[in-house]
Amino acid sequence: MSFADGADSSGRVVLGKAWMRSLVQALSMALSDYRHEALFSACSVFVLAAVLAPLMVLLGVRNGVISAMTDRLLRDPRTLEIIPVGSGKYSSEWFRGLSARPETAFVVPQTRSIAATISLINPNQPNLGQNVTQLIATAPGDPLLERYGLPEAGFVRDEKNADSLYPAPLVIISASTARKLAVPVSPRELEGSAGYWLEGRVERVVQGRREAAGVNLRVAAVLPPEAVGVDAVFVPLEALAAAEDYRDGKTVPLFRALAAPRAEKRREAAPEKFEDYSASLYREREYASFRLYARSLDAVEPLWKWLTAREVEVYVKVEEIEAVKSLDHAFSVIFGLITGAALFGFAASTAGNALAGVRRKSRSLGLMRLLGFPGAGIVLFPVVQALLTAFSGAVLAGLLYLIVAFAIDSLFSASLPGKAAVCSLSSGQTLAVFAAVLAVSALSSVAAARQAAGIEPSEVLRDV
Amino acid sequence: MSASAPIVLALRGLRKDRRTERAEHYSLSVPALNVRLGEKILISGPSGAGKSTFLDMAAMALKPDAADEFFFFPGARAGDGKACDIAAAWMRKDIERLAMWRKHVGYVLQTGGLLPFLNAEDNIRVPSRLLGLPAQRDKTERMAERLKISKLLKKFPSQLSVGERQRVAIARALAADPPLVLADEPLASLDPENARAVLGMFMDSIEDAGTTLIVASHATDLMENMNFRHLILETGARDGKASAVLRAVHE
Repeated sequence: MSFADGADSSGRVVLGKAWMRSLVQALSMALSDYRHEALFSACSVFVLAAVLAPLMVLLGVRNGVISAMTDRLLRDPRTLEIIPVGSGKYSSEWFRGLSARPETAFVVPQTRSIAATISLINPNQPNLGQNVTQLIATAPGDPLLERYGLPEAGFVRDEKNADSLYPAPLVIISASTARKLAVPVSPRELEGSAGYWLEGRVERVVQGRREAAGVNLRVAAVLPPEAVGVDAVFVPLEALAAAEDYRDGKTVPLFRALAAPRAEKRREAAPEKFEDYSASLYREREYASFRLYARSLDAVEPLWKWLTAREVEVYVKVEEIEAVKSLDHAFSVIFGLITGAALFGFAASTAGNALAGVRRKSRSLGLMRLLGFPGAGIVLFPVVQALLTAFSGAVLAGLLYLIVAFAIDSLFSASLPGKAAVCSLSSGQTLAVFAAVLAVSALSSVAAARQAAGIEPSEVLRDV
Repeated sequence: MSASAPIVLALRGLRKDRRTERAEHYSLSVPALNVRLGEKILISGPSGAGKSTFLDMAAMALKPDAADEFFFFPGARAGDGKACDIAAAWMRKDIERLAMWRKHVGYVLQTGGLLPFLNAEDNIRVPSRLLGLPAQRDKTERMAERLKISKLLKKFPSQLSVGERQRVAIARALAADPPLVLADEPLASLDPENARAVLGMFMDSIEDAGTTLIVASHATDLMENMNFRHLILETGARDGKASAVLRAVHE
């Protein structure tokens, strides 16, 4: 054995291999002591798990059902809708500018409201008569339809009129329209082999003569009653524009003439190509109105300002937005306070445990110092034990959380829309909880570590 | 031990002032002391005279108030004459250096001083592990056999009697072949018969290891005829203060 171990030729302490070896030995001592005091260590782990598990469940619930509920409110298209007041003249370029804005989630042109109606008839229930229904334009990505998981509107082959040169609109109707026309609500019945068809009728007066045009509409889905409170049918823009153009006396595709002289019928049979008509709607046409949805609650105000600056008067649901925002804020504050209180309790309990541990073990720590353990090793002793407790407690709390989350989900998940998880934590959030617990434990054991560092072997030698 | 044996501990003008329950101020002085490798020194004196205080200073666990010279030669056994200036280290408050030097001193305390969370075998191996020495199982077994603790190696201190703990502590103090072993009243907690047996085993082990021993004890009669250099702490008063001075008995 050489005295040079741990010191260089000039006697300087070499904080290298020897120091690291002593440190490793100190860590091994901390583990041995932790194992030796198994009962005490287990109690500390249980105490930590008892604090942490309910907190994790709470975070899981906040993250699961409450977040989902708040999120649903925050993303409710009815709250995010910006409704124009009155009519205007909005060009295709204006729409392009609006849809390019980052705050815009969805925008689609809308025609004059006076021209945006259609009389619907259910050929399966002729005795129910006509139902005058509002035509509303829709397009892919419509937030209202997406919220209820409904299919997009579009066009399908006109199964009811094999001679037709044009496709038939695939539409979504409101619950009240479905009820008045006795249209089944269930998707299974709507999607039967031939689909569910309605007849649409638009009228006009040309040179004192009343004329009518018809169109077959295939029903893709029915909106729930809470989505729209009026009689409405959501159609592709082409169908809406065709209704307006027809009323304006133009010849249009899609609509076939009804109850008109034979010659005129022939003349109007093929007004223009459907594709050309469709393309023209997005080029030089001007629209009287629009349907606009903001991307989020925070995006409503900038959009409102943008529109107001262009003298477009709109209505936004300020009160609803404020209510949803304040609910979200209240939830965040409540959970923040609970988490803060729990973390404070956890930190205090860890610090108390570590301090008491150092007091209790001062003789052993002093003896280790006498045997030549470095100060850093003695400092690490309570820190390592606190981290061990934190890690074990977090793992136990994680297991308890999984059991409780499974029980909560089993009991309540079925009653939630979409059977969403009531209590859930992502792996990232779980890792964050673990990291926070370890960090708080390490910080809480600093006082104990300082106390351990101050232990003088001569002060405790006579007691061992 | 020959007069030419290397010096392990050299000190001059060592003093420690402290408050005690019996006297407001108390002073312990060691005018001069050289300890050579293989030497056996017995320190006796009345209770409270400062025997343990002296051992704690020699173990570098307690800071002296003054020291003209205080050197430790941890490499004495290997012929390395490099000196560790303990007084200078204390002056510089170089606690980590002192801790490192302490690894080269074996210390047997009154009731063993074992780590409660390690079994006897692991307690014995702590000094060797700290010094990074390779595990010498056969050496441990030989020592355990000599000290009659072979069957106790897997037991924890709480499962051992006081005598058994003392024997484990002796094994630990000798395990890393230190040049200096200190023992503070190693027999005080034992009955006379047990004390005689433990002392016999202790001395045999010391002889076997060829190391240096400084033992503080009241049981001087047990240690007669064991070739101890006997030092005594003489108590008295100096400058109105209670004091004790370490002197050779046959000086």
